Amino acid sequence: MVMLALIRLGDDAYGVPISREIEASSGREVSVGSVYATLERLEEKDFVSSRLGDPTPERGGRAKRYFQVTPKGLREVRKTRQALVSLWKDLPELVERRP
Amino acid sequence: MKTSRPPAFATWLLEWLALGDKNEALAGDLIEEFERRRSVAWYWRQVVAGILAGLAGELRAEWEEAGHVVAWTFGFAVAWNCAMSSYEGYVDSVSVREAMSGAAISPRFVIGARYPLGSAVVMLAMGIVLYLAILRSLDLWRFARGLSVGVMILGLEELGFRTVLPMRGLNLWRVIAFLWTWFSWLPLFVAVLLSMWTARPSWTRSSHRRPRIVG
Repeated sequence: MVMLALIRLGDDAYGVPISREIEASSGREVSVGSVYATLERLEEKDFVSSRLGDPTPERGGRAKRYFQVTPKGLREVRKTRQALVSLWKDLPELVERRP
Repeated sequence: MKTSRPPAFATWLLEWLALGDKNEALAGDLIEEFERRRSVAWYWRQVVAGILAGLAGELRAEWEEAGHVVAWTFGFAVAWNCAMSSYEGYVDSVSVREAMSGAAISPRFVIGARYPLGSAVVMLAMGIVLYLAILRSLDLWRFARGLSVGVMILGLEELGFRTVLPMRGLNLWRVIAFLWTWFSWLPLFVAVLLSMWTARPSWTRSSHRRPRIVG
């Protein structure tokens, strides 16, 4: 979800919009700290890179940290999508069974 | 409840305790989001979750070092338990002697029971001091950092196990204590473990060894 949010946001991907994007698609409150923890793990695997922006007054003089999906990360997203699509195809029709 | 500025203490706590190289950006994000539409309760939830996520991330990334800290914490917890049991045995024998000789106040009033918050904080402080002394890295900043994490974890456990869960009809504390009496040590063990993990010197940290931010 975090990787897809980064791709959707493009150059403006930092903590706040990433969390909002995930909140909007999942419908649940998201912890910004957990999003950062996930991004750090993705960065360790070289799926994501980050850079620091300039400090701004509305953030109490603190800088934004912008994230971007790397080519390796993009390949991983494509592979995951292929895997999900093939798994989804093989599923039987999802019908609720009554007890 | 919505005020124009986020709680300064929460921001300080986050920047003081959030680990890794992300705390400045995270604090900035929370301030920006708070000023748009969020409540004080939301801000506090995010701060606590941010600190815990930072701790969990470091534990996962540095599992070898985490193993050393777990082993040390376990050894210290066992040693502390033995010391406290001997001390309580000694105090009991003194109380019996004093009761027989007509003394009014038992020394038990002084040390209290084994698990109240005060004695847990003393245990945390002793554990951190010993741990840092063995690593020859004892200083006030590391000690204060470790102790603040430990006290925060103890407070959250106290709130969760004794207030929030029973209010929702789930007395997890009693269930755990019923299953295995030693589990009652688990919350204190977690608090000691995380406080020592936070207090450990910078030369043991992976973020110290490999800077990752680009640009």
